[in-house]
Amino acid sequence: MVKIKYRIIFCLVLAFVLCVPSSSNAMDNRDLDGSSYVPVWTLIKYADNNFYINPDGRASMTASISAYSGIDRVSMTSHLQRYVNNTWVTIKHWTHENSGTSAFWSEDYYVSTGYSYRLVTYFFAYKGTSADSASLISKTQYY
Amino acid sequence: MNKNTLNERILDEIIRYAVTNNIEETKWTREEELAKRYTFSASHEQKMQQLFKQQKRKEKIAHMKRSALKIAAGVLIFLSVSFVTVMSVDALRVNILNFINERLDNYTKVSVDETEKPNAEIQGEVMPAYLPEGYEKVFFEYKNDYYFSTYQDKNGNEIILVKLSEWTTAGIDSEDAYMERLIVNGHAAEYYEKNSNSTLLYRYEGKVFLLSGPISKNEIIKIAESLEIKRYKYFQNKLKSL
Repeated sequence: MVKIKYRIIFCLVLAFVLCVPSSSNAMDNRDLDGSSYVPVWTLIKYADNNFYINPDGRASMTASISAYSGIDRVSMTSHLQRYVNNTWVTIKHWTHENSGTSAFWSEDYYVSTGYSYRLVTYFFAYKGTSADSASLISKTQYY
Repeated sequence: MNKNTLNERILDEIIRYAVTNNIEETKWTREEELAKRYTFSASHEQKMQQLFKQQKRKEKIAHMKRSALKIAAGVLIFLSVSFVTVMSVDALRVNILNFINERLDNYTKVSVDETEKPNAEIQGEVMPAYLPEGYEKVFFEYKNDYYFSTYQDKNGNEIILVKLSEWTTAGIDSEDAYMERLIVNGHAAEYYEKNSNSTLLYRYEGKVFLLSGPISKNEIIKIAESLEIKRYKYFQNKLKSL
């Protein structure tokens, strides 16, 4: 009986130890529209996107990029997506480009009620003939 | 084995044999017969029952103590293992610092946890009081508790300062980067170094900031520690001039 108790405790501890790292890794495996996307991050040193829906339905969006020194130009393409029929559909997208190593983009857009929304931004950096890309997905918001 | 020891052992064996035979031959009186032969008083019976109860209670308490100790040891082991595991998983550990980091293959994804309220509400721009020589502000844009500003020198070298908000999802190139945990402004911070570029993720007044540029670690920390709320300083200067 005592042995069984110890075995149960051991199994619980083992299960916990194995579960915590795997749940953390599970958060990493995000993809775009179900397809696997592997960012490169060789010329880009920092990128971010911000997505917030105000109470009046105005989606407030920004994106910024910063690349390593010596980059010719950078660009960003942001897709405002709505969750419809179990899939993310782009309802509007914007592209912003800047010569130099950094860029900032900002936009407001009114959205309809009853849906979940997110902002997917693709970042690009160009240096001569080589290019680098990365992507970020914002937190999902329901309006 | 000497002679004396041998003799002692032989004697012991003889005694043991004799005692065993005697026990077998002894006719033990049965419990019923004993009961007929001796009659115990009611008070004696009561006392005996009390003694039995006390003994049973003592045994029960001792058993409970042993079980409690085992359970406590088990819980302690479980908590220790859980703590070590939780603290060894980056995504969970950094959450304690008010921002959540997910270390992916090519980069580190950062998002801000605003469940912890800032110590003081930041009113106005939070700007560095110190910048390395030759750098000046060339861009600043503020939106929904987030801002992005850049500082440049004459050679086009650029430092960025970003204030991350609850709605920000950010990525830092951390592949093959040197990474270090530091204390900046009294809070845990993360420092990344790659391609002669320093990046610092840190907190100021409960808010999360990111500084990145082609400068040394000491310089980036100096900038981070020089942050101050500009509007506050403006009013201070106004008061001084009155």
